[in-house]
Amino acid sequence: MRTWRLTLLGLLAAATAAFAATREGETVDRSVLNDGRTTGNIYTLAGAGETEPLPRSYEIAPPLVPHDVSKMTIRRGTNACLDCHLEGGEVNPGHVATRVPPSHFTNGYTGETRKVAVTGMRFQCLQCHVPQTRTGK
Amino acid sequence: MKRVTRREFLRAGSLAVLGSGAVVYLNPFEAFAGDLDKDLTWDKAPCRFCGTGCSVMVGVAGGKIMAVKGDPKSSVNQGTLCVKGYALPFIQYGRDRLTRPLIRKKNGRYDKHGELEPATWDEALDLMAERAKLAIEKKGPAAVAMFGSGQWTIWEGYAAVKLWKAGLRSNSLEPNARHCMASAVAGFMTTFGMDEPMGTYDDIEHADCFVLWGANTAEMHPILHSRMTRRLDAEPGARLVNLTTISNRSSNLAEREIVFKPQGDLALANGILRLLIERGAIDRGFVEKHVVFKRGRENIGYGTEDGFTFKEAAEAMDFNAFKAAVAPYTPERVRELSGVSPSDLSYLADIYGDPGTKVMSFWTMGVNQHTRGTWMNNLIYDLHLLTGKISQLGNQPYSLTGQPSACGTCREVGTFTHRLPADMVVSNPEHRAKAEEIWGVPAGTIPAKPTYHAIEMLRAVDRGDVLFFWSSTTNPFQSYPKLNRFRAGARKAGRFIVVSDCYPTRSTEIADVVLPTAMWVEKEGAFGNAERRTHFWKKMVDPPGQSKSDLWQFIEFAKRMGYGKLFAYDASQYPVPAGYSPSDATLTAGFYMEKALFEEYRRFGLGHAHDLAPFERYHETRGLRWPVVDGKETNIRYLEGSDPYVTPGAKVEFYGNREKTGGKAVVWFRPFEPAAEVPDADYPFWLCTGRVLEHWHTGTMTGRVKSLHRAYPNAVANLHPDDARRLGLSNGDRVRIASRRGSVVTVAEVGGRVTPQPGMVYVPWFDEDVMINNVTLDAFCPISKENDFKKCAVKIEKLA
Repeated sequence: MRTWRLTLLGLLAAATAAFAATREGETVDRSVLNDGRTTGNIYTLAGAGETEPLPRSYEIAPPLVPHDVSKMTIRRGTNACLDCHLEGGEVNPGHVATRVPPSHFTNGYTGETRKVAVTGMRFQCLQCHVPQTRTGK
Repeated sequence: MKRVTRREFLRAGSLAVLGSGAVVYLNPFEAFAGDLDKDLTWDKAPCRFCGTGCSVMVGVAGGKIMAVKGDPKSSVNQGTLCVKGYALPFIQYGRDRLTRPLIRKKNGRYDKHGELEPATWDEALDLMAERAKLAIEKKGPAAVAMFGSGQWTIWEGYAAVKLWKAGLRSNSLEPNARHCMASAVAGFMTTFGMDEPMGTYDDIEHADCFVLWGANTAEMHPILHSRMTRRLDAEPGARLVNLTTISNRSSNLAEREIVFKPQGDLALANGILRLLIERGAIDRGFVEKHVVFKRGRENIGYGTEDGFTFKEAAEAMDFNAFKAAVAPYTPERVRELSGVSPSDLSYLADIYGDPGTKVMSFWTMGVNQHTRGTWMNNLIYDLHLLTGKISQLGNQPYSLTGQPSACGTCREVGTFTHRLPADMVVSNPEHRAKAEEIWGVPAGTIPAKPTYHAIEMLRAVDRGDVLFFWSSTTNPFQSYPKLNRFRAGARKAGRFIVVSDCYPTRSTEIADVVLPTAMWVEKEGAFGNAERRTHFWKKMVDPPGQSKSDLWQFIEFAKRMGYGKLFAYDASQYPVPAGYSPSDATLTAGFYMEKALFEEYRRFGLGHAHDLAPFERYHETRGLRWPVVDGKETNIRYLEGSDPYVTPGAKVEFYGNREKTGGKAVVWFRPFEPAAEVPDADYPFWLCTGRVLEHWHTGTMTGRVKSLHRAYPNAVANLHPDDARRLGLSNGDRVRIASRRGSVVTVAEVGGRVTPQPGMVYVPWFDEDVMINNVTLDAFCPISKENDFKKCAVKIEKLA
């Protein structure tokens, strides 16, 4: 019993340490800032289907966007992101688009369920899924 | 995996195309969420950031926050969050988190010209008390000032009001919400006699048309933008109109984007009012029963001089006089002042004037941070009052808030120089008497005269009228306008500056004492959002090192100032909670401090249409919208059947004005007047500042989260392509933006996320390396005293 407990504690501690390492790694060292140098916000020019997914901050964090989105429009009735991500899969040989998860087809509060299109609450992809700059401090 | 053809993509991508065909998923990341459920302890909290007031589930293990997810039980966000919300697990864990008090010292003693050195809490608090007493001795209680925050918990704000007004006898207390919501408050008070919106977010699902008045909801209130997206998806006939000075992301839902010149909104609103009257599109029955007409003073100034004062002189008028007053705002005149075409003006009058179209108007900083901010609030109410589109499900003028508890703490608790809890004011003897009775202090304790509103407070520091200035949960030395003056003023001899914060900031760098502060779920808290929703959370993790909550700091300071008795409550009545972790203030007091303060605070609003539920109820719910009467929250205020305070039979009653106008709202005539500083030959561009999606205020939290920082690292200068061409600028060129007050260097961006109209540059204010507020102007609305951060004149210079 005691051994079992210790093992469990050990596992928990290891899991926590792994989490904790992530915590710190996901923050910015502000001491490198305040250098008075502003470089502008330069995003990747790589096209959709040309890049690999970026690592997530934590398991249920929204995936970051690894490709250029400047020409992709989200308008009422049109959503360029869903062109590839709604079903996911190999959009370009060797490059797999992350598929929109089931959570995006339901609304837990209203009980609304969609089958083919994401719910209205999930339509504005760029509110959660943000591209990352290439440069910057 | 299956390859999908381009055509299938397009079809599936269209929100409008809903078809059959079940989709079967096996998503590894969703599957892993199950494990997270087992390993983590989850509890609810409101989000730390904007005034939307989303509820998040916080997952904790090993004393650290590991994950968050949108709370599916909250009607606000319905299981979703924006990118800032998802970054919540990191904001506590920046590597340079402050963990010890710091005092500016030389040779081991406090010295204004020393360096910040670690100190004990006793040393820091004793020094603060010594300097506060010295300030009172020299200049009186008004010389001791606190600048607080719409990010304070309700009890932190309440403790600050009580300590300042009932203890120190100083009205020198202001929140950063003065820079954010004061015009909204003044708008509500002058029109309805009572603060805060009549509707709730539930109205969104019933509106036919959303009109955004200078509010870029797609970036600043993402979840509300999603609620509107959902409504437009569900109701094909529903529409959105984006009225703005900058082409922005919110237009992605818009039927029309209408760009107006800065300050042109005043003319635009008057032009719509004129057209509505001309067309007979007025709800005469509603107007006769529920509205009176007034006009106020004109040519009211801009407050740029120290000691500026303003006193309103309202005059009653009748409908015909009102009609005559708006008559000059012809379509041609509106075009000249606002740049809006007669056809767009007519389109807007169609929307407001059609009795079958339910309209929600939304606004925040574009309207509030405006030298005529109170007037703009009044004018939007005019549109809804004249057409009777108010206090009905889906028909609401809706003032959004910027901070998580600008409403719950600053406005409801009254952490302003002129205010007391529950919409009461220090200048009213009955209000003071009521507060003195609840606080158990002698009659005459609370000073009757307001002292310094926010801008005047830092001017007073510069002049030497305020000698002790405590900033808590905010970053004034980055966020104030005309910063060069105020930063220099704070460093003058004899000024004592205290800053409570979690991280080193532009304010801590000029402070004399820095207090390491517990944040968000490191303490028990309560926020109130923009739909009157009071929402609680429990302490979930310990603060790092010696960090303490603001509440603990205020009470410890109070004890040293001789006002500890203001925070002495009956321990038997408020036992320390069992079953969850008490906050530092409760542990030090030996009784449930948060509950004691909240239950006392509740007494102000009970029976006065600000009723709050008993303390425990808020830990059990995802928040409740006040007034909470007989256990029931209120959805639509001023509407009989929904709001228990309406006189039976009245149907609609603006009871905040019951004494003044017999329960009628005031339709104000408010003219166009120019901005405080208008571009000229020397400074030919308008400067507008604001936020971006990824960053919160001055970026002290969001700037430390890698995914957010990398998504938008620099405050760039957004320009119109025509202007860029004329200046010979391309993307990435270095530029200096200069006004008569100061300058910054940054990088030009053309064709980015936002495109200002020609003749305007937009620079966000989150970046501590691009101190754009060195450039901005301290001009404010004379009624609300809220600063205009959206308009001043600058020149743009290309650098090598």
